[in-house]
Amino acid sequence: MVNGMNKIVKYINQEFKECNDLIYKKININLKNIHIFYLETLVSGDRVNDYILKAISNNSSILNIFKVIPSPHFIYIDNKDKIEFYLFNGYTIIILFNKIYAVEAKAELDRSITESTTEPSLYGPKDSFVENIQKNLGLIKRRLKTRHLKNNVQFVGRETKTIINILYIDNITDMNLVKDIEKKIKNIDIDGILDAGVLKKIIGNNKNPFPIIKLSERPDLICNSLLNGKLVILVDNSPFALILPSFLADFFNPNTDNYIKSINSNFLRLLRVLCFFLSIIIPAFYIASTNYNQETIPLPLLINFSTQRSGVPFPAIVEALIMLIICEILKESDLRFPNSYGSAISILGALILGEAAVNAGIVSPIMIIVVSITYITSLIFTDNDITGAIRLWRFIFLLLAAFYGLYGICISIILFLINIISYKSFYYNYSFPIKPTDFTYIKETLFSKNTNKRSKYLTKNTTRGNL
Amino acid sequence: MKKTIILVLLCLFLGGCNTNYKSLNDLAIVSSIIVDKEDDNYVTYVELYKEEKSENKSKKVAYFIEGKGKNLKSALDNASLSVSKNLYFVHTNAVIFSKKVVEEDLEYLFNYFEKSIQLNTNYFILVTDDVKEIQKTKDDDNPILGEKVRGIITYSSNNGAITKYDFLQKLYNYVNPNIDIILNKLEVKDNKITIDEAYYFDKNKIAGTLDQNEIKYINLISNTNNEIFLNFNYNNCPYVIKVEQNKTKYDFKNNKIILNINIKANLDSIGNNMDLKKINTIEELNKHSAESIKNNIKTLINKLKSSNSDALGINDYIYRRFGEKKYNFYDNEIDVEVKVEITKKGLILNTIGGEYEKK
Repeated sequence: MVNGMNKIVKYINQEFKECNDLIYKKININLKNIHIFYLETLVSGDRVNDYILKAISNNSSILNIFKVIPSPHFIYIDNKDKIEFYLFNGYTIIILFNKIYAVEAKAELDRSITESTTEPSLYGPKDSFVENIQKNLGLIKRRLKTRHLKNNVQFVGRETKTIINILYIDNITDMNLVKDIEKKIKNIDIDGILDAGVLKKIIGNNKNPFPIIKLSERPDLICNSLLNGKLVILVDNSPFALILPSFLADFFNPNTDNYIKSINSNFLRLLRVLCFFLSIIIPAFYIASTNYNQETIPLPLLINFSTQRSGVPFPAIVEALIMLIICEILKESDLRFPNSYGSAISILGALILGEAAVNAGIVSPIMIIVVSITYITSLIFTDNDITGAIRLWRFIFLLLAAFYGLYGICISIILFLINIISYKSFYYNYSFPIKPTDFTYIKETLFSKNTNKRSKYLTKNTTRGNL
Repeated sequence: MKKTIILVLLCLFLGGCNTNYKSLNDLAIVSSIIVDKEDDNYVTYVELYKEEKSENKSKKVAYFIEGKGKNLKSALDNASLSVSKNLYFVHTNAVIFSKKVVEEDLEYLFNYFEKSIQLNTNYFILVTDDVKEIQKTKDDDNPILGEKVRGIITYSSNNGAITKYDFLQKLYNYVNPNIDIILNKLEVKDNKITIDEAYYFDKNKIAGTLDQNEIKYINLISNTNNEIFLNFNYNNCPYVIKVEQNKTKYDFKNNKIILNINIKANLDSIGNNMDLKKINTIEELNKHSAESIKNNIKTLINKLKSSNSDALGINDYIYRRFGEKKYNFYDNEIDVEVKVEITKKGLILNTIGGEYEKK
């Protein structure tokens, strides 16, 4: 028995040879050796002292260690290969009588629950996810008090063994989707998943710029999605949850609209849809109408445009490309730089893009207006992927308009529609709820209206209640 | 996706869509064109927009360039030689023909402008007796001739004294063998550009001129103007009615063409010596207006008949209704029946009420 115990101790010491944060304690009580291992970086020393060491030393009989240590997370490990997993998950390993036990004594490494920074809300709940998956799960379960809410746990990553929770409501969510996603996640063979974004890239479609998975840090949005029959994936160490399947309509409007009167928010919602298209089409329309289809511009405006452009040496398309690229660079540098530099970049940008550029004769004032409207309309969308998709399509529209005028824009629109309509979010149409048409979902996403039904496209359980 | 890209490329390269790149900097925007004829040569004066900068302000002005040629195309081409930009005709406001060129080559002019893809179709066509004077005059109201003309026709025609038709509608009338066209006459009075009269045509020839009053009745019969103001004098008391609604119907009985005109009007202004509280006054005004309109229309029809010009398009109506020329504007007697109903007596008088409303 002693030999066996020593073998385990030797095994641990061997495996964790260079891990300097591994603490090993050997305690002798009543002539019985107890070996304790834990990683001091992941385990709370106080908890080890208070709940394990004190309990062991205060009890003369440690034959039944389950009774001695009062911990809800007291696990008997039947395989020494599992020691590594428990050690790295904040457990303390106790080796006694040739048996291995793991007791949870995690240190508080995560931050407290704070307000959402990416999806702020004026009137809705203020809490948002943190890096601790248990807390995140708790925030969801606090809202959805139903046994039908299931969370399927998987560990992904050869080295990271990241905990991934697949959440769904079993009497609402389409089980085929659940099985499909479970299978996809099971098949992931990678060294590590460090964030929800990495998982999003792996299971999402990377060929099309439009995202089919929505990232959110708002538990209320997650619960709403679950109630709509969607599936949610939580990834440990990530403050974002993945919502899938997501459609283009889901990215237009924030969930926070649900907390104000629908009649007031609907105007904003329609405005956002308009902004989406304006952001893509405005520079292209300007190029097409000033270079090919001047008849579309009213005469007084055409004369103004002509006057303003008179000193600019570049063709309008070059002017537009210069401005759009400078704006992209500014936006990127503003995002990357620390906050304290932000205002400096804004001033510099305003100077370069504003009066200086016009006075230098590099661009015309109207181009500044066009680019400004383009960027203001695109700033409505906070999701990076959707703004990326808008940017890509903006350049496609712009280039086709530069070569073919309004005809080019028409071709771009056809190309855009083909792309969106044929695109699948998992096995659902990305253009849902427009094609296939579903008024229930249209009311919920494009308009802010509470309905007593769920979309039959997403779930067979379509009754929400009686409103 | 490959199929989509192939489809798009096919649309782009085999679409056959003619796309002409025209940079805004290279355009000379045309406001109006004047066409004249000198010694068998066409002379065109093209009015171009220009920006005039003074200190911190820039002002929109216009100037004329001139070109001569054996035909209209070469005249315009020659005119374009004097500018370093492309002439851009799409936003042309007006095309003004001299009386001489209209008398000689109206068919050619319509043919040329009908086929010109450079121009839009919503410009106005006018005739002037004095090209030089028109070109020289810088109206204080708007010194740009094309804009001035468009402004007069678009806004001033609200009183019904100008024909509002643009080129496309004029062309429709011109190519229709059953309608004779009317073209507004542009002239200079007291150093101001105005449209007081219109030329009416017998096929391609000028048949005569119509004054503002006659144009109002043409607009009334053809229902082409929403608001027409008609001036009358009843027992030495002048009054004006504003036509709010009018319907013209044609009846054909006993070899007669009967024009039925039903008018609902407002009393726009009236002299002092008329008591509108009395029921008889309004009824008398209705009768007097109807009689006056009838007489004026009869006079107009006789004038048109004597000039052999069907500017009212009555023959066209007959052709469309019967499919053959069963009746003829020139040969059949035309009777006019007019009914006028003054429905409102103006804002203030209406609140008084009176016997007329209580009836």
